[in-house]
Amino acid sequence: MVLTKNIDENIKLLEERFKECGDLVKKEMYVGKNLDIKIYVAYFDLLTDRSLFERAVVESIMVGMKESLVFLEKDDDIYNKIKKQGITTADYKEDQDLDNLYNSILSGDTLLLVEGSDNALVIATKGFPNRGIPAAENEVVLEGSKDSFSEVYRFNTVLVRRRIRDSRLKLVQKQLGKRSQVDIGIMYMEDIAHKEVVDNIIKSLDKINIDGVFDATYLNELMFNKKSIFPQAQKTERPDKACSALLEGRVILLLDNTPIVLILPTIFSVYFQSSQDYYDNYIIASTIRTLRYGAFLVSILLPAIYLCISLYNPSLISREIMYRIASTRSAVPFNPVLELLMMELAFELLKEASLRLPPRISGTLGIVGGLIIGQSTIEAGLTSPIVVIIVSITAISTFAIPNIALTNTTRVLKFLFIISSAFFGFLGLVVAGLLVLVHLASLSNFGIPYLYPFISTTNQYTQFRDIFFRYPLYKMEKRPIFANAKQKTRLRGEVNEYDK
Amino acid sequence: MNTTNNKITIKQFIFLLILDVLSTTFIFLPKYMYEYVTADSWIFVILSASIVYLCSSVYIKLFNKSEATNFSDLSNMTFGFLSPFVRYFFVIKNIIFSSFLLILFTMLVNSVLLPDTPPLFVGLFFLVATYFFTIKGVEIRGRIAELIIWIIILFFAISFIIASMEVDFTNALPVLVRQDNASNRLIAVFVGLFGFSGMEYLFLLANKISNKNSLQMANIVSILFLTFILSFTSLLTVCLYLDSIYNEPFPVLMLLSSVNVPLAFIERQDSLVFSIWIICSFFTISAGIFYSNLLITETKPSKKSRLVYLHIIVFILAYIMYKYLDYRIIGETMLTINAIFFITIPFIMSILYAIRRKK
Repeated sequence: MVLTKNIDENIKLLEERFKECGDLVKKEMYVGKNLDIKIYVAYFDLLTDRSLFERAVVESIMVGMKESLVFLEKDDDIYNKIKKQGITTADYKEDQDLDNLYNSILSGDTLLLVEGSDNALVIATKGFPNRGIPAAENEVVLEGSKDSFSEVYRFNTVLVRRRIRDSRLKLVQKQLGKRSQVDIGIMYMEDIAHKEVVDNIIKSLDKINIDGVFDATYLNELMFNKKSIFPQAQKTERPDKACSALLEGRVILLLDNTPIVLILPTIFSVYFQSSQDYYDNYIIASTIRTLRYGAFLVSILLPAIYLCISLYNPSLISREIMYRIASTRSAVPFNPVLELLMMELAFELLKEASLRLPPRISGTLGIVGGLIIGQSTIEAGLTSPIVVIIVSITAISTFAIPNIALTNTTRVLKFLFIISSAFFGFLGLVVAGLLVLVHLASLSNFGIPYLYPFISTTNQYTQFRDIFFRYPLYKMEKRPIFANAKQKTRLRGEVNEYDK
Repeated sequence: MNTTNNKITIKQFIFLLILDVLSTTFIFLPKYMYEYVTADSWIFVILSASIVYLCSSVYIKLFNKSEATNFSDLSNMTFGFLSPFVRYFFVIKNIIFSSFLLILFTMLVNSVLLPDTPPLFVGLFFLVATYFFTIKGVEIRGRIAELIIWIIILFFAISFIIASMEVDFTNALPVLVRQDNASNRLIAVFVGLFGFSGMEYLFLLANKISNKNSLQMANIVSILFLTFILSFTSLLTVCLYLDSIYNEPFPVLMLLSSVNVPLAFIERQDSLVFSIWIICSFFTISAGIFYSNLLITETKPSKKSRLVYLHIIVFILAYIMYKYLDYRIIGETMLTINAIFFITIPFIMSILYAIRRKK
């Protein structure tokens, strides 16, 4: 439906639509020689910046244009006069479509209707309460920038634009969710990103037909049909990470009301990269990164290996260690599987409980749960120290992974290995590992194998320069697989020419 | 972008062929060979490899020359109305071989790793796991091979290095003078072909490669790699055990059992060979079923997957072998059939192709 020239009819339609919406603020103003020309403004309380509204709309029309409006007749072109002289902000648009106008009001814009016009002015006056630009909480780095994305979509686009001042950084804006109509931005470097990938991402977003999208995680599940426990879109709260991804040729999705940004396409190895890696010396960064890969393996395999050894093949390890394990286990009344599962579940409970508590109390919970209960269960003979050690090492290793989504994956995956090893020992462990690899190998992300560069159709040896080890930046001349063929080189020329 | 839609790269072809061939037979080969040529077995593996190369290159030349789209197409061109029989023989052979490998694997696991677990339970578990792999298609198979091969190479390298510490290589000397029995030598060359059981899958993989021109080169690399592994394993095993090899039921598996690595907290280094063997068995058992399904689909296209039925058949056959038959005899028969099939098919096809073209 579109607006008509009859302002009363338009107001009726609008008010009908927003019936019983108590937070809608509406005002009728009269101008002209006989004060008989109606102007109507409407906006949602607190979705709109009131001072901006007062300045850009009310003041400029009723005070600034007082002289010129006072002599107007009903037949004059009042709408264009207001548009040209009355609106002091550059950020406004005209629209006739009622659905678009409703969406604009709901987004925090102010709607201005003028008698005799079938066009409406939509003035950008968005200004809702927010917590500003917060510091990163989940991806903390010791050095480097501390700012993080916030719930305000526009702040997030600004954080990216401030870092990449290039006109080739493009932002496609859409709205998602039949009812939530939440803003989503698709940002990419026009000349670096694969056009095919960008088009496919936009197409998959267009296919989403759901009532509401309230977090970037929704997209993770809605965009990928393939069921997997592994994260298929990289999430970040760090603008520097998002910008670095853009310069690699990847695409970022910014969603209103969420401080999390999605990065696509993604491959398995990116979950082991941290922003800190690039702020540290490359030798130190490489050492820490290899440690993370080790931590990943430990976090999923260690409890299962313990079961294999204690249940089926104790002769695999040296006799001294075996005797020590056996002596500590002798008083425990439970089977090693039950004992391990109980401790793992207890730890998962502790972790889950501490997530819901304020930081000060969660520290106390850690001490009570981890130390006191752990010590007491050992003293009561309900568990052996070796199991507590194994569960603790597994937990510590989990937290060494710099990505929360992969951390959560390992939390579940370790149980697959535990169950498989409990039934089939060493065979179960190897087979479970093979099945996980088969699953990982079958995943692709917008045409790129998930296990790239370990799996690839091309010779990709230079792509290993940022996988297990981080090569010095001057050695990473080539962009990763995500960049299109014409933009493979990111570093040109001699770097250390003054060093010779 | 980086996927090939049901095709595999040359690199994936090489790795896949290696993993489809390198199976349980590498565990038994040194013992089999020792019976005929004692410490010279590693040399005879190389001789067998040259026959394997000859046969596979004949097939590849024919495949490239004929411009057939796949094995079924080529068999139609050459065998004519007999073609379905050849293909179904190939399918049956693969299925029985997979069943044999499954039951052998189960029995070995039962005696070495899981003595208290019922063997059929182990077999069922393993078959369910291979099903998950088999349904993925050739592209994923290639991708997994590309990944797994490095684990296999790493484990083999460590195993070989550790084993070399214990082995007295002079036991292999003098070379080629211990046996003067020509028939034994001939048998040894034939037995050596057992180690390459599974090379016939090359017939079915040849059309899956994205760059057909590199097929011959890929074939050579695969055979060289396999020859090195089989020959070096034979050398190590024979030099370590000599005549006591007859007392060892699984000499290659136990190759590292007595080796003590200083400062290692792992007592049993043979777990490395165990891992290689489990991974290879995972590939070879699933390979038989996967390629059978491929061949049936080429012959009779259908949207419905037959893989579930094939897995059930393999399990039933394995059960029958376990309960009522001597699976060792079946195994030796199957290995013999595999070797004869691989040697004869390329030559018969080439001759028939030449005759039909002349007509």
